Amino acid sequence: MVATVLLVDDHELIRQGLRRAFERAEDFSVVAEAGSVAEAVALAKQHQPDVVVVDVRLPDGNGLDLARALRDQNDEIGIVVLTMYAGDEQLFGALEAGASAFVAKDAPAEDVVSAARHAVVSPRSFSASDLAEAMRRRLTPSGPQLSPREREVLQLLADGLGVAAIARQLYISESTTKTHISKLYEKLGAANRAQALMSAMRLRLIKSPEQ
Amino acid sequence: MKSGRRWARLAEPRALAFAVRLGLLGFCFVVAALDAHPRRTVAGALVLVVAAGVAYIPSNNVVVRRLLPTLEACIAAGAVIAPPSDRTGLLPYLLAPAFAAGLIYGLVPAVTATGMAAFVLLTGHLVAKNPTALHTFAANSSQWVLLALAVGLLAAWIRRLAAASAGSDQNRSYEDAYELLSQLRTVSRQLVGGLDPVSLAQGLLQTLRTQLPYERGAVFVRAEGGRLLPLALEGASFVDWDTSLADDTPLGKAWLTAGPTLASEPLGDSPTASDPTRFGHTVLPLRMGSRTFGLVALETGQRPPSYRTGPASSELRLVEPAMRLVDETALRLETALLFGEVRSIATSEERRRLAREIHDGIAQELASLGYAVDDLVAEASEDSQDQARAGHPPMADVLRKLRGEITRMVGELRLSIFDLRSEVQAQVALGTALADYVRAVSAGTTFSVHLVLDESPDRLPIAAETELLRIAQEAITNARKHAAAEHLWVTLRVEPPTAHLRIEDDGRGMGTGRHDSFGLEVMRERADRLGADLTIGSREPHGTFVDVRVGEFSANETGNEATSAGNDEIDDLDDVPVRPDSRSAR
Repeated sequence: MVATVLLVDDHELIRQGLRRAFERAEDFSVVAEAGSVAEAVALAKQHQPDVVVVDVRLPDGNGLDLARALRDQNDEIGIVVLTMYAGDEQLFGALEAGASAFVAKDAPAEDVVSAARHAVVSPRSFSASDLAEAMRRRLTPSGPQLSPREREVLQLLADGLGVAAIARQLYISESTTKTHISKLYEKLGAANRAQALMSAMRLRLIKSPEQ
Repeated sequence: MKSGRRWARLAEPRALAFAVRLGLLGFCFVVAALDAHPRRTVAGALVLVVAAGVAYIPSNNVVVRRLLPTLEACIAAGAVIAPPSDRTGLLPYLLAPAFAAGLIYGLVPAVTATGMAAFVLLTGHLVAKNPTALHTFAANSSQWVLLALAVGLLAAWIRRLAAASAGSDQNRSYEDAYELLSQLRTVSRQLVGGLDPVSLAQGLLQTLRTQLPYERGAVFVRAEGGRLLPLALEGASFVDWDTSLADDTPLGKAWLTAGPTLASEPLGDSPTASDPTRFGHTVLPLRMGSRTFGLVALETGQRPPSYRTGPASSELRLVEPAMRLVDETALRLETALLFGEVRSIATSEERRRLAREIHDGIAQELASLGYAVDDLVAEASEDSQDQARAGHPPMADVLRKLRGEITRMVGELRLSIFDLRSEVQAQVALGTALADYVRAVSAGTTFSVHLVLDESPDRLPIAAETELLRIAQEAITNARKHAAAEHLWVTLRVEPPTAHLRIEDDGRGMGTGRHDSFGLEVMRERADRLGADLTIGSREPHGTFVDVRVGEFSANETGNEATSAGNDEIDDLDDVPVRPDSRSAR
């Protein structure tokens, strides 16, 4: 079975290159090329392609919005998001838009073809070459990122000191101490001291008593 | 130019013409009532009312409207000479159409109205065969006709004058703006750092010391979100004053008064407040016209005893010269802040434009070239067996190497685009922007990044944060491209108005012949603009460090902070336990 492909990119040369790659692959046939979101919507309707390869930046809109719209209409369509932008923001944007795969434009054309192949088989899953790394990068800092000062305040909180005592110990004002503490609570998602200490312990930011 | 505008508004020409008409009509009625033949003259005066009404016939046609005063003048002249005899008492009304025509429509209608009135008067007198002799009537009426002509000309001249002043009003503001901008250009060229709000603020604090002795002083400007942002500090490198501008704080109260405030209490809960009664503070607003954009706060811990008893008014008098000084500096300070803002808007716009240009241009072309090479690789792989048989080196391998190079170049361009697009914003603080940047560039690299952020809830001015971010970007890019390092340490501490940024790598150091000397120069320029100290040197045992300090950061660490954040950042960093957030990427 030959899967049909719609290429969406405003750069003629990019489309040409990708078309050649898909033609070489034999299990794909490029049925249409679009240079804008509007064109892509119309051509997708007309040709009902199995896979849409879409660039993030398009002259009349955002490729991620296009991907989202395509996904809303059709659960089974394969969507490969291409981008020149660096940064994990685009990758997660594609994931959230319901894309099937994400490929950067510095990757060889074969990567785009194999991403499309994956997209045909399982359009509702997501693949990206950098996915695991990106997840790790995203997960680690979203764990609370405490400043050294906040760490000190946290330790003193764990030692059972009150605001005034902490302020004295650290030679800072009480209002500053309160600011640090409220920031700590915010970062730890806690509403009070007990919750803050519990989650700090769970995150191993402080030693639990039995250790 | 202001008085000219006020005049134009006051002398709304139509209202003025209406008032003149009304006045002259009233005058004519009085004259008519006193006339020897009241009935005849009052009838004439009633015709004048009709004439005045004619002037207010609505018309969309410009020519018709310009002719209306002439028609009015002719009817009025008719009223004067209508049989059975002349009513010379009504002649003064001729001033009204002449004045209105001159004021509203200009010179030509004024002259036409008066001229036609004179014509109607003379011919009418002859035609009506009125009893008065022609020469007597001519002598009588010519006075008034000439007067009407003079009034018409005067009104036309006033009209021209008003129009000219309205036009020049606009020109004057352009002239003012031009003058200011050229001054700004001169000033910004003379100073490397352009107009520097920080040094202006520091200068102000030092000058104020001679007028109002104080222990701790700070210049604050109001930042987005309503907080006060310290621009400069004197006497203490860190103030514990509540800068949230809440109504119940000393600074918040002072903000609301919009004038100098004095109070006999400390500004914050100072730990050294052994004798709070000896504390006092003075807060002077930084004003531009009626708008307050910042505060100068001074605190003393050794008030002379006389202060405590003296009446508040005498203290306020003491503050007056200081307030004058602050007002003078306020203008310069606000100009400097504005200048910085304008520059950062212009630069960030240009950076975005550049990013777009690279993204849509060279980057796409290079990427499509990569796809073309992919095509060649595929074809060459098919032929490779033939070539191997023919004794050629396998073409596919050469092409694959080429493809690798293109991939690397496109990758660099992607990072350049990211570099150009990342910026500090009102919602995105320097630490967040820096963390995002480090995370993005560490993707696919071989070194591990250790990021330590210690930001106070207060922020630096956005312009300063931007410069620091750019310095960090430059330093990280250098390390990434040239250092071949295993580790990269990025440390940022912000305690406005001070900040400390340090980027270190354990790579091969800054040997000679590295191609980033231009980058170093740019970093130095940025640091100069910040008024920051930039040190670039070799890290022991190997590697490079870039160290930027804004303000007296290291000296101000109080108490135990000095032990945890001393000057020796390398040891300090080793002390930082390995936390989940301090490592990212491989």
